[in-house]
Amino acid sequence: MPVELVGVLPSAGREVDGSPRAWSDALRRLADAHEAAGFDRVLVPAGPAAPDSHQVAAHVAVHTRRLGLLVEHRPGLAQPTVAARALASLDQFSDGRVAVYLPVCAPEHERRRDGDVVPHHDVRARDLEYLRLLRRTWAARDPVDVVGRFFRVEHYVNHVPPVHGHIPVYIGGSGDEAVRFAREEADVWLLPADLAPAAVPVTATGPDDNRGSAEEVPDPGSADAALVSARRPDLGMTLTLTSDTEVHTLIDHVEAGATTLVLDGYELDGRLRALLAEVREHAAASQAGEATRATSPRATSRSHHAHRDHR
Amino acid sequence: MPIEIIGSLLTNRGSEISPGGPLVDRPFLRRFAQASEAADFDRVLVTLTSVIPDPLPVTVYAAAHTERLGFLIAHRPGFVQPTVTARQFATLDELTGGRVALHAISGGIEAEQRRDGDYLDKSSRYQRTGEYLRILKRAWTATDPFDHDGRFYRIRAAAPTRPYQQPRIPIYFAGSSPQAYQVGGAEADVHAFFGQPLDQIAEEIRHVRAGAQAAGRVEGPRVSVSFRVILGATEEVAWERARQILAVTRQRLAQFGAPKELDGQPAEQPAVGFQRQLRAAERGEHHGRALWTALATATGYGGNKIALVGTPDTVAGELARYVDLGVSTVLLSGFELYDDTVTFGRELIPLLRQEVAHRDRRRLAGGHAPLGAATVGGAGWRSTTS
Repeated sequence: MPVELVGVLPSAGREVDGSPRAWSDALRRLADAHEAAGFDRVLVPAGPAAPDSHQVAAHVAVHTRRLGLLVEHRPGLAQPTVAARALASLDQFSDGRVAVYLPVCAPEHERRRDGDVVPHHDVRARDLEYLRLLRRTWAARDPVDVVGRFFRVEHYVNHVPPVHGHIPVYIGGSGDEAVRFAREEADVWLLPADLAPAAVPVTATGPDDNRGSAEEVPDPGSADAALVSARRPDLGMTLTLTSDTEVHTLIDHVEAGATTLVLDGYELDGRLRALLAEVREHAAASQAGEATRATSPRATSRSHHAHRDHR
Repeated sequence: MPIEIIGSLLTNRGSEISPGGPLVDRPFLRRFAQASEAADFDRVLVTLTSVIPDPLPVTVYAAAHTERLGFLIAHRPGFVQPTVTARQFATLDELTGGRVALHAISGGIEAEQRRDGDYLDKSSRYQRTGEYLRILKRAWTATDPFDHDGRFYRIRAAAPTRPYQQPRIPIYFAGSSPQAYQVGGAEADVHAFFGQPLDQIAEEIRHVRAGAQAAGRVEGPRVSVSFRVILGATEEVAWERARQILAVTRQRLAQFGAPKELDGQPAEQPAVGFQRQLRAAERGEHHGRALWTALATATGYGGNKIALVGTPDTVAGELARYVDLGVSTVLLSGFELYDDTVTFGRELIPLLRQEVAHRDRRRLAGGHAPLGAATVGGAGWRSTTS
C-alpha cells in the first residue's frame, strides 16, 4: 500500500486576514497549494475557538478536484445520526473525498466549553457508542433502531449515504484511554511519531471483527480483554517538519509501519514538493522489498498536532 | 420598507409534481441557485429533514456559485450543541461575506424528531429552542468566554464566535402554537408562518406581538408568510395550470405515497402550522382573489401547501395586501422548481417590489393609508366564507 501524505490546513486566522473574501480566497489558495504540493489529503482542524471544520472542508471541496479531506470532528457534540448525515452530505458534495478524524477521550475542561457534560469516567464509553452509531448509520440498509446508554435512535432510514458506503475514521487523542480506543476502533490510528515505536508492536494482533453494533458498548473494565481481539488499524504518524528534516527521517517512519504521515510545520514550496515525491518513491520501493519479508504491522504517525489546543 | 422575498433551494428537481433524480444533482443546484439570484430573490430557504442532505454543505456549494444571494438555512435546535452551531454559522457567514440567516424549526413531526434521537415533548422542545437561541446570540456577540447554566445546557468558558454580520446572524423562527408565539415573540428576528387567508395571518401577528410584549420587547419580530405560487398569462391559464398540478399531485401521491420524512408519523397528528392550513381549507377552497387551499386538502401532510393562483398582477396585488397587514417577508416557491424561479424573476418579483414601493411612497406622502384598504385593480379583499 502506498504511503498516504496528509497536510494540515491552517484554517484559523480569519481575523488577521481582513475581509471574508480574503479569508475564503486564502483557504482556496492554500488548498490548491496542498493539492499541487502532492498531498493526498489535508486535515481540517476543529476546536472550541477555531472555525468550523465542516464548513471549511465544504469550501475546500468546492474548489479542488482531487485533494482528500480529513475533517476533524469532535465526538459527542451532536446526535450521531445528525453527525453521520452531515459528514455523508459533505462526502456527497466532494465525490467521496471525506475521511473523519475523531479526537477521542478529550479532557473534560475542553469538552465542557461546548457543553459536553459527560464525566471523565464515561467519555470512552460515550465516544465508542457515538462512533459505532456513525458507522452503523453510514452503512445502514434497513431502518436503525437503537437504545444505547447515551443515544437513542428510532427508525432512522439512511437516505443520505456516503458515496462509497462508508467514511474512513482516523482516531487519535492523548492519554492511555485514547490510545487504547484508537488501537481498537480506528481505520487509521493517528499518533505522534515519537510515541510510535513503542506502540506499534501491540497493533499486530487480532482479526478485523470488532465493529459491533452500537448496543455492544463494552464494559470499560473488560478493556484488556477487548484489546486482545482488537482490529488492526492502519498506522498514521504525525510529525512536524523543520527546515532540516531529511527524507530518511520520513522513510524511517514508513519503514516502522506508518501508512499515513500527517505533516505540519512546512512551507508550501518546491523543497516540500520534492520531499513528498521522494518519500513516495522510497515507500513504493521499500514496499516492493517488504513483500518478500514477513509482514510487519502498518502504522501512521501524526505529529504533536493531534494534541494541539486550538484555543 | 422594501419587501423581503425568499425562494427555496433544493438539491434536485423533486416536487409534488416531479421526480427528484439524483440525491445531489450539483449541475441542477448550481443553475437553480444562479437562477434564484438572477430572479432577484433576497434569500433562498435551504430546507432540512432527516431524508435529505445537510443544508450546510448545500449552502457552501450554492454560495460559491453566486455573488449576492442570501441563504436562510433551516436548523432544528437541540441536535447539535449550540456553541457548535454558533461556530458553524459564523464560519459560513465569514466564508460567504455575511449572506446567511438561521431558520429555527423546533419540530412538528414527532417521528422525525425521534429518528435523530430527540424525545422531548413539544412544550419542552420550544423551551429548549428559547435557551438554545439565547446561547447562539451570546456566542455571536460576546467578546470574552462565557459560562451558561440553563435547564438544557451547561457550558464552561464557551468561546465567542463573532460572525461577519454585526451585531449577529439573523434568526428566523417558525411555529404557530402558543409555545411558538411565546418563544418566537421573545427571540426571533423574523417569525414565519405558512400561507393562510388574511384574517388568519392577522390573528398570527397579534399572537406573536403579544408574545414579544410579554418578553418585554419594544419591537416584535418581523413577519414572514410562505406561499406556493402558480402563475398564468390570464386567470384562466393560471387556474388551468393549478388544476393540472392538483391532478398530478394526487396521482403521484396515490402512486408513491407521502414523503419519506412522514414515515412512521400517525396521520391524525399534523403539526399546528399545517392544522392552520387545513382550517383555511375547511373554511373554503378559495379565499380572496388568488388564495387556493386545495393542495393542503389533497396532500393531507405538512409543509407549505397554500397557493396563490393568477396572473402576476393578481398575485402581486394579493401579496401586497399581506404587506399592508404588517408582513415584511414572503417566501414564494413553485412546482417546476427551476422554470418557476425564472418566471417569478421575470414576471412577479419586479411587479411585487414596485407595488410595495408604491404603497410605501403613498403611505409616506399621505401620512396614512388605512391598513388593508388599498388594493390592486380596485377589487376589495373577500373571503368566500366570511
